[in-house]
Amino acid sequence: MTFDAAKLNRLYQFCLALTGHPANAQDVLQSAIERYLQQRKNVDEPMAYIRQTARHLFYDQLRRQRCLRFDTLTDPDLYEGVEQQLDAWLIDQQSVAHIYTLLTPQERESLFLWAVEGMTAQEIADQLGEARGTILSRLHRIRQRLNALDSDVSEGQHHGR
Amino acid sequence: MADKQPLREQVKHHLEHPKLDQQTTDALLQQLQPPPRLVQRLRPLLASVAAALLVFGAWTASMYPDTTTRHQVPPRMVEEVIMNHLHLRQMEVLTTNFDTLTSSMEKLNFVPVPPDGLSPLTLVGGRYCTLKGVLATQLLFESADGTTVTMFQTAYDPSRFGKLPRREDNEASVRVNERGVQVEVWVEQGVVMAKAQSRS
Repeated sequence: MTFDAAKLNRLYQFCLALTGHPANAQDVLQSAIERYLQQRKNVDEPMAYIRQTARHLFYDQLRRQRCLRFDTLTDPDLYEGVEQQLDAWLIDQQSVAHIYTLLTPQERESLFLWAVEGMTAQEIADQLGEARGTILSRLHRIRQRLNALDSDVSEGQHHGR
Repeated sequence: MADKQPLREQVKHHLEHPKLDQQTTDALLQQLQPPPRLVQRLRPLLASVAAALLVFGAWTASMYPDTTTRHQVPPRMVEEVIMNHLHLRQMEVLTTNFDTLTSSMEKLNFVPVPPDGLSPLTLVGGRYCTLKGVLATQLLFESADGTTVTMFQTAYDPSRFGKLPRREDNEASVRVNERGVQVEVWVEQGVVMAKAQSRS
């Protein structure tokens, strides 16, 4: 596979989705690429490999800083339909930027794969090596934040703010 | 009021905006350059593989004289259409006049198309919805015996919806039957049309 600016930027955007910070994103991307270069001969899918390496590096960082929050185990049936609900949600750009600041790294990562890579919950689960229920639970929490944001806006409008 | 668009599109726009600076991009691309010897070794192999794929592709194409079998509706789209048909929400615009409906739905980035072959049905109204993450419209029709037919329309993007049959080319629409709902999909005047009807 040949890398170009578009693919690099897609990887950078994934790292930025993970880390939430441009400088950290560049560092994680650089480290992931260095690891890839060492293993290049044995890698079939470079983009997926670099993404996976970047997330391992980042979450290792968080573990060392003891900043990692674990998802609770959930029954996947509880949140069936959440993907369709998110598909139907209408929102403005400003609210997207705001919501994004409220998400955890895992939620940002799942949202990136859902929106930018167009993956389903099952595909995200396969990509991240996690249970589908965990991904659905994350998407459900994102929807809850969207609901809360909508309520805040409506309340503000009601009180004439 | 800020302009609202489907969440997926807005998130995509937000997340795809940041880019690496040119210096960093150039440095990383330099690192990622494949070693010359490897490229030279692969070239003849790649040429053979490309030739084999061309032959296989031509042979496969000859096995499918009926072009409609090459069209496939994305499964998620069928799911969305069925769910919206079964859990019908209130129409935002109530009218029997298609021109009135068209002029009322200002947020759409396409002009709804009055579909052919629906003359026994009466338009009831329309509402905004989404189809595969892009803004669409759901139109509600009613037949003389009270049967409900819903039709979804959105601008056709082959990269999002795949290859779909075109009415102008006399290609037969794709039909899917799931959960007691018959879904029919085609493209007409650059608009994706998905018709849903409960099977009696």
